Amino acid sequence: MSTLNGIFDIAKTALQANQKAINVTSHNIANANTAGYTRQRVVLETMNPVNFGGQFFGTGVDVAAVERVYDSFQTIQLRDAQSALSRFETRGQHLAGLESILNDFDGAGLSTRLDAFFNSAADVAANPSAYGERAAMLSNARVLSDTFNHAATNLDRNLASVNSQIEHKVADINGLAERIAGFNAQISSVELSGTSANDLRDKRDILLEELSGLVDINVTENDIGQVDVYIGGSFIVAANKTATLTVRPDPRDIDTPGLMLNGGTINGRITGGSLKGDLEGIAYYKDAKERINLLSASIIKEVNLQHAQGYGLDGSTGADFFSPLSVYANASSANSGGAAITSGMVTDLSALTLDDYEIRFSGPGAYNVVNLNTDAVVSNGAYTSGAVISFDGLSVIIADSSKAPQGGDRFVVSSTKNAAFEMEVALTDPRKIAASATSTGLPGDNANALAIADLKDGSVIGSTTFSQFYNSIVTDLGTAAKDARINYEAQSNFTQELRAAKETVSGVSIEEEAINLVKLQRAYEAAAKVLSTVDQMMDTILRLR
Amino acid sequence: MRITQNLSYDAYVNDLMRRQEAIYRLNRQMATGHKVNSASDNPASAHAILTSKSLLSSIDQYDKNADYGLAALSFTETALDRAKDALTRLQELAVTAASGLSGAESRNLIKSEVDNLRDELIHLGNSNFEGRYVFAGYKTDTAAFDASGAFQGDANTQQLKISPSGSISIGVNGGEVFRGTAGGVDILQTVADFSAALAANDTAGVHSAITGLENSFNQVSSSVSDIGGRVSRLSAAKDDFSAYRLEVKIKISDMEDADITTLISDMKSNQVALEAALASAGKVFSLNIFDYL
Repeated sequence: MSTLNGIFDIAKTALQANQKAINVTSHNIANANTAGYTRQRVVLETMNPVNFGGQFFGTGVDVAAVERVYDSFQTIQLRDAQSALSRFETRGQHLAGLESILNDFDGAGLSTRLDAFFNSAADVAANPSAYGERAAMLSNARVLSDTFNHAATNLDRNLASVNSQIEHKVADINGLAERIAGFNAQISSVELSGTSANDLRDKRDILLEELSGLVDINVTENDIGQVDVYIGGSFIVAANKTATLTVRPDPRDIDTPGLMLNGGTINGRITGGSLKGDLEGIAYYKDAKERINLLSASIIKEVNLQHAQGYGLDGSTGADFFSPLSVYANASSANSGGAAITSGMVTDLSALTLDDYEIRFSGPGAYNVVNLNTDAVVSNGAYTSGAVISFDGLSVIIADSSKAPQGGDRFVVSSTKNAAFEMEVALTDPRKIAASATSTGLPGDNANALAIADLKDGSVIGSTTFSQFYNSIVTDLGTAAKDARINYEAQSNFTQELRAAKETVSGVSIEEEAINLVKLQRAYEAAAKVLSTVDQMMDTILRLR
Repeated sequence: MRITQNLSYDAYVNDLMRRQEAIYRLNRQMATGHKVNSASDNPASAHAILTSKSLLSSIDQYDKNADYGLAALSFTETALDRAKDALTRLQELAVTAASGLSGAESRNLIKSEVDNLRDELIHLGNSNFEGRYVFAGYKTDTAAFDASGAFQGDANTQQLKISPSGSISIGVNGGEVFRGTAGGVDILQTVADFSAALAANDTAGVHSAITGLENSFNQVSSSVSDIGGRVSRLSAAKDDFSAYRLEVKIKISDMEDADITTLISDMKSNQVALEAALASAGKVFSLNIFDYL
């Protein structure tokens, strides 16, 4: 039955509903600049009508829901785009760092110094008895060595810094996973009561986007509003539980971190995020380092071989121009036996290949020596603790330390690993530069100095000269850096468009809210007017006598 | 499409950043004068630039070698020219001494001049260029001839590179020129024999000296023309170097140097775009709905 009291109630629902709507509008305005905020909207619906005398009469308005204006597909797209974007951005940063270490366009790079060194050998050839030319050759050799030392030091420092960045990022990922699991628990308990946990969901989306910037993730939502998060197909968040991502160095390669999740290595399955950019950066740094080491080791090898054949002004011969190459030997950290490499040295420089080798034990008493560049077995034998193992100009001694080696144990042997870092000029006396090819041809014989100067144009690394080899390092880096920049720019535009599309749907428009505010205020005023009208009607009735 | 405040602000910020970056890159090119400042600016040119620069440094070195060779050869040439003068004088003396008018006394007078000329020949054989005895082979720190004229050097000559595959000898074998060690005339011995013939008043000996001295003159002369040949080879090489150097420099400049005109006009167009973006941003952002409600 339509009563005055009933109309009072209708006005009351109108006041309340509009007040709630103004509440939501103010919340929108307040969060217009909040990162990750999704605008909210009040869904109003009519209350159930009542039947009176065969007619249905309305009973007012009710707030059915406060919902987020949200497109889940856009969010997923944006996350993927964010992963790709930070991957390219991080890779580009590492390549820019590498480029600045190996920049040759400022006139002070390795290629300039390489040319200067061999040119000074040609100057010695022009005037083999002069002290000045000889001293200049030594000084140019020192500058060249210093340049290699700096490059190696900087490469190592950057490599170490990428590794520590990865550790920080892994800690961030684990922290984010914990917080996402926490929000999962809160959201499901809020939503069990049938309401929507709008602001909690926004916060969780922010975390998911942050996570996807670090590493590419797959996200699935279950029917109680909880998300499961997978990295490389392995879960890191499942409802309100998390798995922990850990870093463990590759046992055979200390420079590469192994990312472990749920007991497996996932390095190869990470395809995006700044973590992927870091892994790619490490690969570029390692490649550059290997090539710089190979270059310096080749220079040391070729110059020393040629120099040792000649005679200094004082008749000295067989002298090293650069300090001899040292042998790097390392037992894999995964070895189960207890043997260690106790010494390693270059015994025959001319037989040296500059390749890396691995001594692999097939059992406690037998080993193979494998050339890692060609995968060929170059030597094998029976193991005796402390006996010399010789191959390709190298000799190493492996001896039992805590116990004997076991089958599957591996030892890496390299003559180039520290070449750039340790490169140094061994000669101190310019008179000892072996410019002469014969002991009797002193001091006018320049044949050996000519031969050293000729190394500049010789096919010494594969089929390339020293400077061609170095130029190819610089050019490859430049190409990779340019690719990264182009990819980054394209991905950045794409991401911006996705962000704009999402903002179009979910962002707060101040104009829209201002107009809503006016609209709701008018509705509120109208409802109040209804109240005062009904009040006057009551008064009218009550005054009847 | 709903345009929200965040959307338009972000878009403006991005546009401004992009313009600023373009202007920064152009500025860097202006400041260095190079359009390739790192390999990633243009990897293909970068490789060619580095290779060409290395080539340029090789050319400079070959040029320097050629300069050194020219200096050493012209010094040697001068010494041999003076030896030719001495031999010409000796020939004149021989002709005078051979004439029937010369008696023992006048031959004795001639002998003293001949001995002096022989000393001068030894002195020329010991010519020293920048502290090095040029006729001593590799033994540049030892005088090529001792006081008696015995050759103390060796048969080597110094080689220098003037191209990756071409080298040139910048020395002369003193033993060969002055003492005929390679089968020629032993000039110092010929002069000594001449002097002995004069002392002994041996007319036949004086006559034979005329032929010997003529052969000696020809031997030095051919050595000088041999040097002349090498000098012209070096000069030609130097001409080639300057042409080649210019070519390589032009190539490097084409690839590396920024085109200032293009840079300035690019810069200007970016500046105009930046100013327009700023102006339109200012207009749009000053609109406020609350001024109208």
